[in-house]
Amino acid sequence: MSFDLSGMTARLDKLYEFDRQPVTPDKFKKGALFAGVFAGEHVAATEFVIGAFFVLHGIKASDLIFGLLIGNMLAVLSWAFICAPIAVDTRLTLYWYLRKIAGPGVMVIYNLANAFLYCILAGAMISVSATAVGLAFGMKVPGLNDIWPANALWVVVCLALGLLFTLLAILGFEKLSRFAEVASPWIFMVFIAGALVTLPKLGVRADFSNFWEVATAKIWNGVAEAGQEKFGFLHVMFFAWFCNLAMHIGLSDMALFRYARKWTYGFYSAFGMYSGHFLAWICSGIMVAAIGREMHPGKMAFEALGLAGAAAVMLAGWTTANPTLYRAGLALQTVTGWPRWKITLIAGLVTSILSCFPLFFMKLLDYVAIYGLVLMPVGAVVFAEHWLFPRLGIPRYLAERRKKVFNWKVLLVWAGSLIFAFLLPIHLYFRWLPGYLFALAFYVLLNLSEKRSIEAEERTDVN
Amino acid sequence: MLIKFSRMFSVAALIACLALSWWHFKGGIETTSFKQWFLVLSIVYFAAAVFSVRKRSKNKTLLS
Repeated sequence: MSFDLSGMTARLDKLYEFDRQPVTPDKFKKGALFAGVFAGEHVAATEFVIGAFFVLHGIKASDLIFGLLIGNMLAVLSWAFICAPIAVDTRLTLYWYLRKIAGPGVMVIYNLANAFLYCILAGAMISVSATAVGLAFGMKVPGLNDIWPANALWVVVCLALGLLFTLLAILGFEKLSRFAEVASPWIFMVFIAGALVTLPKLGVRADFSNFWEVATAKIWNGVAEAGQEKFGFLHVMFFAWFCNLAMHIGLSDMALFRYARKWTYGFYSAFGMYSGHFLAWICSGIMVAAIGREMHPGKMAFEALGLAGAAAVMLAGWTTANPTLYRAGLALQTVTGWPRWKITLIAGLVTSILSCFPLFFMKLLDYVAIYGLVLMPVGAVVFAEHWLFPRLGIPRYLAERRKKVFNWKVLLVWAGSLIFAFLLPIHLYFRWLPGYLFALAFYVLLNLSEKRSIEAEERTDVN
Repeated sequence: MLIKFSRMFSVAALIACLALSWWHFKGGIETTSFKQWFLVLSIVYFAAAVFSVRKRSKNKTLLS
């Protein structure tokens, strides 16, 4: 395995070669496509876990409803006012735009960080699927505070599923992703149907007259489970906002919005937010309340819908893990230069081992927060360079102009803002926002001197 | 035509799943029968949806 940087960046460039040029107007897509992509992407296996965890964290019904309404609206606005305008302006993916700003060396680091984070997420999704498959063998699912695998059967099921998912990802990612397109409307329907048939078990009458009473007393009753932190309105609102931080504020959805006719297409993200991150979270909360608040996605869907419910959890885990494994493989391929099948196999093996540790599945909410936080400074750097630099008279794309492999200022801002965010004496969920503002200010400050140096360079050129 | 028909069929299967759940919520069907019918309708949905997606992608390949 070679670790020479020029080789890595050459392979990375080759991998993304097909989207190196800005998207041309003949390739622009209709708004309905964006609505469909968002609606499909944001109804996944994570929804079975997140909505249920809100119940276990003792959220009150009114806090949940208003927190989700406002938090999801902030997420939609982030797509519409931060991500989509930059994508439409440049018509580039984040990869190529960041390469101009930060240099190819930083891109290798960004890809590696992404691959590692993807592997953990895929591992958590395998664990979710394992809860459904394990039902057939009477498997005991780990407890809420478990870190290590609690029993041998759990390890066997996780490893077997992980290897199966890896094998399928190697054999035919494209065909499988088409199958995922087919599965996603059905999975969304399973959430709605599962919650609906569960309501009578909780005591909701057929005319819905006592729904709110049951919701506040038996589902979101404000009482946290033992060992779980009590959440309130702000936790829900911030969680709904940063749940896809890497995509909107972190700008990775530039890859999607560069095909948009206009920046207002960012508002189509509402189709994903209010179906997946509102309705589906509410539905999984209802289902978990009916099984005695046990964090067991397989059981909660099986109790509601029988075999079809268990199959939905299995499929949701797989359809989420499949592209995640694929992306991790792609990112790692650039570092090793190995063939896709080999690197996907290695990423899959690592992911399968990670899935055995209940820590990632049982702490999914915290993991989602960390995932967004780690990639957020990159979004701040791009935002500053795109919008703030021209207004402040600071020259843009200096890494590209000076043919730098590493823009050290970007790395410094990335590391500095993460240290700043982790040192803040506030809840993990609230750290990204001051961290983002810090990253913006820090990057602008570091580059203020460039204003003078570029003027001097230009004067030297003239002379 | 076949693609359109299979797509309509898959949408109908999804709506039927929801209608069945509503019927169960209203107490019109007992739990065991509900779960069996839900599974059958889900299989019908997947058969129709996979068929329509496969046909569509085949047609696209032929056209390109």
